[in-house]
Amino acid sequence: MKTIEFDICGQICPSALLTALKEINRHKGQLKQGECELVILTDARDATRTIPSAVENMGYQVDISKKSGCYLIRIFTR
Amino acid sequence: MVGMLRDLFMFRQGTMLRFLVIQLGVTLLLLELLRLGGGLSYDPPPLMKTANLSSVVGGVVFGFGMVLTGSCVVGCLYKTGAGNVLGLCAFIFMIAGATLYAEMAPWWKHVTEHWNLTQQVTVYHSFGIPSWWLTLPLLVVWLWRVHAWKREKKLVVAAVAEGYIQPWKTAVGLAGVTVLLCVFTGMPMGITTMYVKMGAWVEQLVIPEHVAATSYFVGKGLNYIPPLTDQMVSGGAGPGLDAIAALQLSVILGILTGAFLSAKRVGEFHWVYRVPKSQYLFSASGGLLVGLGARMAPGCNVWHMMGGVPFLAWNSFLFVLGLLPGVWLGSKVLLSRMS
Repeated sequence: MKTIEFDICGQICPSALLTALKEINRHKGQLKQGECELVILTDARDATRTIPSAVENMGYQVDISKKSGCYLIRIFTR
Repeated sequence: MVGMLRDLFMFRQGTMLRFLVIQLGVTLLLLELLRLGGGLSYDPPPLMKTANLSSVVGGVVFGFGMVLTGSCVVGCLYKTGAGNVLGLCAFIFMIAGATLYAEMAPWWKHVTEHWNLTQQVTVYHSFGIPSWWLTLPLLVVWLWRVHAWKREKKLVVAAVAEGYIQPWKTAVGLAGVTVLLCVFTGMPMGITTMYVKMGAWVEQLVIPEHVAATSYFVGKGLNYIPPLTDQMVSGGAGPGLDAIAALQLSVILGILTGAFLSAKRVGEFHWVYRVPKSQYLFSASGGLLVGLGARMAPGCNVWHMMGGVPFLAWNSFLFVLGLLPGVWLGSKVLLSRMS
């Protein structure tokens, strides 16, 4: 499975959420087929609540971890 | 607070608004108990003005700017303290907006001088009734609603951010801080006059003669004897270190320091400036409007919503009346620009 990473560190909500949603829509074909997963790197604490909430409502799986003071939000389809 | 209101219009989500309701209810309850117990030295507090429609206009400008910049006057401080450059940009432009108001203050005062709705500050003073006649039924409805949320398990937010404090705890804590400030300083939290002061400090370095000639900088809007003291103090928007500086600069420095220490503790402090240019533009233009709106109202979301509404102050309800369409408009603009 291909991993597509994008870094939105420095951005705050709602821009962080809207940027993430834009990327998800751009790759939704591959995401739905399970051909890729998206990894969003963010330092916006608010985004660790808003992005998973929005993404789960769209039917994707979400996994969050912390690395070097930033949060990695992994979005994928099982 | 920005997210609470913005998400309502932008994503049709009112989850976080529950915690604003909790904060308002707890403050209303504690203030009423304090009032009945004779613990309120000032009711209404100094700096709370009589009802004037300028608060609606200020609320619209403030709400619109708040959504564009992504922060309110307090939000930009804790973001700056945690190293967020967009927060710092918003903070600087809020100071610029508030300082810009000093130039238009005589004109705005002239325009709004006939916009008074009543000569009273609070709703219960207007009707000449004891405050508990209004607060009691409000608190009954509030208790019923909060109890329902608790039963439906809607008061706990799922969060993974390290060190996350559940919002209901923050709401209760902020209500406590508001009431303590009323006991010890005679008024709730407010910080935007200090933003003008900071702008005046910069102007004082560059064009001191202009500062001396600007009526808004010369005036002393605050003249009162603080609780537990017997000495008259005064303060205004000018560059002097006066009572306003003592009350508000301490809050600003406290929020910056607290946010910095908190971010350091969880290892999340870092400066990141590489964000899309459009976000700097939103942050700057929104910040300018927030600073301007906060002075036109006069008062920011913290002053009006965390302090004025629980005091049942007319101007604070008018501010909220303007804030909501402002937030709606800001959400529409942001969504259209982002798409």
